[in-house]
Amino acid sequence: MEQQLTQLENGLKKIKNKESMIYFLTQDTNGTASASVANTYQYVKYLREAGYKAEILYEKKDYKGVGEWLGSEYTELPHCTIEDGELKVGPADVVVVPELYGHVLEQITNMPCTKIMFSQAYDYILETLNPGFGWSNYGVTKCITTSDAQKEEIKKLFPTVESTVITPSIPSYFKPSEKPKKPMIAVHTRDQRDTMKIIKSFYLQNPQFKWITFRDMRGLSREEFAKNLGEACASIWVDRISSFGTFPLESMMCNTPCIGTLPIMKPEWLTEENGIWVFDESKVVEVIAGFLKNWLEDSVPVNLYEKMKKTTEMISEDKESKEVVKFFDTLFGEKSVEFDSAINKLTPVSENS
Amino acid sequence: MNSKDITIILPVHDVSDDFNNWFPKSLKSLEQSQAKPGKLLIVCAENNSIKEYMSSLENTTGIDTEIVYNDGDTTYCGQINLGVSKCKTEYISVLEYDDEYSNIWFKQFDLYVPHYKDVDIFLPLVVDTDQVGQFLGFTNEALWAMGFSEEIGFLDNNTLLKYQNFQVSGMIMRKDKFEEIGGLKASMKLTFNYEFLLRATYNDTTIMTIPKIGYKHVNQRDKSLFWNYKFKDDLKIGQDEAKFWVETAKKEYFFTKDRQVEFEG
Repeated sequence: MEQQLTQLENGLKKIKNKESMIYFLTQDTNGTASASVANTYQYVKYLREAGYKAEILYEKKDYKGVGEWLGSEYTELPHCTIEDGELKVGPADVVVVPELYGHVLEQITNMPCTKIMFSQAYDYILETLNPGFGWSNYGVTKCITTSDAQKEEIKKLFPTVESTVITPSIPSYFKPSEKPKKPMIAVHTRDQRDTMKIIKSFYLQNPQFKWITFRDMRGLSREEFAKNLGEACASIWVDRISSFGTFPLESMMCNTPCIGTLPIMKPEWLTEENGIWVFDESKVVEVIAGFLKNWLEDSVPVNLYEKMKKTTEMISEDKESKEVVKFFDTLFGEKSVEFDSAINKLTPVSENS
Repeated sequence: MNSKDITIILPVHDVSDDFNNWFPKSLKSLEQSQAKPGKLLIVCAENNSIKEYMSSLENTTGIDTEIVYNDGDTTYCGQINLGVSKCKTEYISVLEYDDEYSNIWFKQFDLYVPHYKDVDIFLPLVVDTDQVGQFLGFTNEALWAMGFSEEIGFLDNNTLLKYQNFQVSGMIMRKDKFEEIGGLKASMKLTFNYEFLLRATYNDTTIMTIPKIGYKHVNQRDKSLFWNYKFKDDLKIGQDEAKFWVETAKKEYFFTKDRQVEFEG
């Protein structure tokens, strides 16, 4: 009992001194840019700036990292791997697990730490869970997600899990180019086949526009990605299962109107006026041609640009940072109370009095 | 620098036939322009019918307009060269009486020029139509196609040697550069546009297309210069001669002065 008490006291000390570890389990994208992974790194950065010991946790030793596309600022954040077997977590520590890693929950069920789910893509929530099993079966009681719509979905699936919405921010290097926009269209689709299909159909249906350049945004570093988006006169977004819709927001930050297919789960920020949204995917090419005609004649409605600007006003790195830190401050506050209470229970009455 | 620093040169060779159908539309396009150029210079061939027409011209363009009469070389190129010599602004632009500027063209110039201070010639994206206004295609647009020229958006000499279809009407050009490279050469016949651009690029003139619709051009309007070259019995140019003029342009662009060249078919 004394050993347990000592452990609890040490744990409480760790929490109070901000020495608890916060591990963010992260997917290896093999060098491909991913908004959700970028967001995870952003969280680690915010928390470290706030004095927390946050680290990136990855599965395999050959983890490629984010240096090629996210930049050295993020590569330099502390990383550790599960594979070398040296990872030790205690009750004062936290492991944040992306929804895609549902299967990992089974492996870490017995770890004596707090498990938080990080759900940025609702479509993957059930991907690796066994039928009949939910997050709560693995001791998860809290979740961070990126939109109210996702929060609702999570509530339907896991009613006992408490979700907190933190709106992701977009880095400030997503901005309009200083020079006027170029007749270039940035394309971002979940399935690369869709990109090629759009480009080929467009040129076949609109031979008068065969001089317009389409830029497949795959394989670019984050900053190159932002630069291209800033130069483009329009962007195309096809991602039916998108949860938050980072790309159209990045596009808006660059003052580049987005032509997109409506995702199944409509994000809160998406309105009829802040983009050109298409329900029928087969109409995308027609809509691009119509937009281009207007752009070449300088007659794209001013209202569209105004609404885009207004939408992006809700996005702020400062706000996101504060929300992330607040979430963990609250979490560790609650953990302190739990530890205090457990210590009190284990402390002999005479000492208590 | 802005559109106030531009003089538009509008050459008028004669006012017969359907001149009166087209010319008012041309002026109307200036009236509707969202940014107004500083001056309109109508360069007319010296003859009574034109004088009579111009004396009754009602100018609604909202632009300071001057009419000058040319008793010398009244070819299209001659008229333009004379007009440029009389300009006092930093930039010149050429409007054909049967064409139209888009209402956004000068506004686009105002938008682009601060970002592209080294550019000497801004080409418009030209919409080519037939006589009834049916869309035929774009001209000057190819510079924005990926891999077409050495630098996307810009015209260079090597690209011109492989591809000739560019249009200078509607362009906005630095007056001093126009004069430095020697102006337009009337003796180049149907390739005067092409030879001019070859000479310009050879003389380090920076040329870019503003990727916005700037100019509407009626392609091969009945009795136009190029229509005559194609269909009029005494002026018709055959395939051999056309080839000759293209090859001649490629030889003559090294020379600033207009040297008389004749086709001996």
